[in-house]
Amino acid sequence: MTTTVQPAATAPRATRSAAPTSTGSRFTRVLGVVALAMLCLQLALALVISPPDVLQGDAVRLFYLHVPMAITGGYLGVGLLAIGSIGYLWKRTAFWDLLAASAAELALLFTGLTLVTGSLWGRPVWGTYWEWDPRLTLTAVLFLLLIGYRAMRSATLDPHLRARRSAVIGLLAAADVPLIRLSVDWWRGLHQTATINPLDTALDGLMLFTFFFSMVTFAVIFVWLLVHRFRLAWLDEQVAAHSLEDAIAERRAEAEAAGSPGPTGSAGATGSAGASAASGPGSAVATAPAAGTTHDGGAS
Amino acid sequence: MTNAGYIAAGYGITAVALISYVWRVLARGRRITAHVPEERRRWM
Repeated sequence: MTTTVQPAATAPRATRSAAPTSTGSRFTRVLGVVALAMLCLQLALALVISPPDVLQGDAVRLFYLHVPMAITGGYLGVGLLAIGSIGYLWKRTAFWDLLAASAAELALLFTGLTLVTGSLWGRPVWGTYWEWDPRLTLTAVLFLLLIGYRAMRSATLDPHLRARRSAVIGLLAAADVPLIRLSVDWWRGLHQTATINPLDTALDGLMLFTFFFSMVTFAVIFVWLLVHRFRLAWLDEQVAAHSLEDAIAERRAEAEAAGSPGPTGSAGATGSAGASAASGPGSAVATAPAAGTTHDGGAS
Repeated sequence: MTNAGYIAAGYGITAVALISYVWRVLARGRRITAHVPEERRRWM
């Protein structure tokens, strides 16, 4: 009697603990709900509750969007890109490469939105959408470097070479961020100097709170997106590695069926760039995802 | 509200870009997960 009940009782539990069917997890779901709630409050604060500025009027509401976007994309996004790039050049594992690539894509998105929202804010405040101001120009350079980073990753097939080149471009992009930060102090331009000085801020209480709350909100959204994007990159690596294994197994089976003595040569040839990369210097990237603990731990 | 057009454009473009990106990442993640063996799919 008990032997028939036991499997039925354990079966649903086994089904429930099956592998995930998306990049989501309990952690990302909780973080996503928190991010959404914070975003709703941020919109209420930025668009309705906070007062208009004495000089800028309601145009200041773009400040709560533009500056957090710039700081999140520039400092958090490019900072993680730099950490991932250094980590890859040092450790040569796929984890760091995937972290850098995921952060770079988000930095590209946030930097692009920084340029757009900055232009839309500049038109009513400065009277122009764009000016070749040092900070604006250097931000545009950062945006182009991040596009170059992405284009290079798409164009390079060898995973090891791709990761190494990416790391170099990533560090180049990261070197631009201090220049963006200091450009308003070094050169005279249209862009104002640092808006928030912890020792002497011109913002009143509610405006200051709205600004800092917006910063935290966009940082939380960034982290939530980063976890999903990292997991997607990890899955991409797994698919590439898995399809390569399948191709080799298929060729091996073909060779055995044909009665030829050794499949290793033909398998390597069939796998082309990917196969040779997996067994050559690129194996750190192509096969390292199999060390799941590193990836999983880093992603969450 | 003064400059409402610029504000709406700024928030609107940001919302569209972020939602599109989130949709793309989540949909692709769901699609690609099916091609990865279960033992290699483990999130913390």
